[in-house]
Amino acid sequence: MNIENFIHKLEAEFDELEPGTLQKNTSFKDLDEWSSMHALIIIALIDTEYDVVLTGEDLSQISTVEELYGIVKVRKE
Amino acid sequence: MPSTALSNEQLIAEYLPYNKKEDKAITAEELYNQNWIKTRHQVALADTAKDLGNRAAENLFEQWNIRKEEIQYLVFVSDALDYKGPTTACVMQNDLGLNKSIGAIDVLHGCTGFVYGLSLISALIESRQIENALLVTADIPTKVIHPADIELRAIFSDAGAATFLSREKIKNGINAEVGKFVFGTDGSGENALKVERSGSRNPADITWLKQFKEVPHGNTGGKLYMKSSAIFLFALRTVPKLVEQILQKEGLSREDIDYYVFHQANGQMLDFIGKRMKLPKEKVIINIENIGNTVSASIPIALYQEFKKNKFNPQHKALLAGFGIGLSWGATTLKFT
Repeated sequence: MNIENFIHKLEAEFDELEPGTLQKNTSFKDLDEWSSMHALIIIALIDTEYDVVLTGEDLSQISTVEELYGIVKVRKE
Repeated sequence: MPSTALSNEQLIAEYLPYNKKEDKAITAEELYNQNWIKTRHQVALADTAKDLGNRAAENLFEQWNIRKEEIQYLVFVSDALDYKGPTTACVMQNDLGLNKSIGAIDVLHGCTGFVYGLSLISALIESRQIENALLVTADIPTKVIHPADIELRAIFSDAGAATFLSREKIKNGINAEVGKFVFGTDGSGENALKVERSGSRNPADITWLKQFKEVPHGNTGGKLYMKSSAIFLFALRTVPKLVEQILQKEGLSREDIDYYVFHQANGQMLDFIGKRMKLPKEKVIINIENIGNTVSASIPIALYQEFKKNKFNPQHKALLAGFGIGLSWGATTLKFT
């Protein structure tokens, strides 16, 4: 797994976003389109693709895409 | 629908003995927020999907003055057939007192089942094999859900629905013409949503069944497993494409549709899909709050409830889309006349 691929997967689920919107340092919760459903999408995607179960609390403690990737990477290992 | 309605509070109470100490307590509000369901229905232990379907059919005959002796074909759609043989629809012919000259088949399908039923019967009528048919869609998911699986209990509900399709229009009331169809299938999702130990593959054995002896239904019909995250993503990915495909096939735009009647899987999710597709809120039917996800019966129940509110007028168009176990998806349109 690498962060480029991770971002690509996230963007593919976020229909609302123009490709290229998400960057490593993007604070995803500050995106105009952000809603609680997007939190569920992130949790579902990471569970399905990486077999890592994140909680709402995990998400509340991070803000950028890179931090999200970091949690997944650590839990995967 | 069965008369037993279960509240979120009741589900939580029945879940408590299975709650592991490290888990935090679940509240009724949290359950509601996940799927927008407050009550769901549970069939009596002695009843099957066929029994719910029979009751729905009897109601249909009575409410619409349909003479049962005129029915030429019966399609029973369910994921909970009475037997591996005989065909449940054959047994229903006798239960309902239908003519012995009818054709009767079962279709083993869940959330896409209503769309499949409409498609098969439309084809039979258009190819002039028959003039009319009764479509019964009924499911009893509560009988294969373990009380420890509170998320599944919160979503799924038991119900039956009966629909009459005919070449001839009824004189008083509203008719609807069935449009074209699109389908989709992805069997790689076999293990994402499945009733384990319910058929010929790995049938239930004594050791397996012993685990569930405390459960009222004993999981004797199998145990429903759902990988919620995978199914959630599947729905979010599939429904918008399915809608576009059927609109394209019909040569319609999103604005041409007056009502979007999706399989009532999860209220919050349907609302989000509607918003994502920029569909006006009043066009996306969500009737799940006091009904739950009734699998193959959810689309006709939603249609009937909207009909009772006098929502449908001649020239209105509804788009129907089913999606779920299989994995499977399908859509069609109804044009009211």
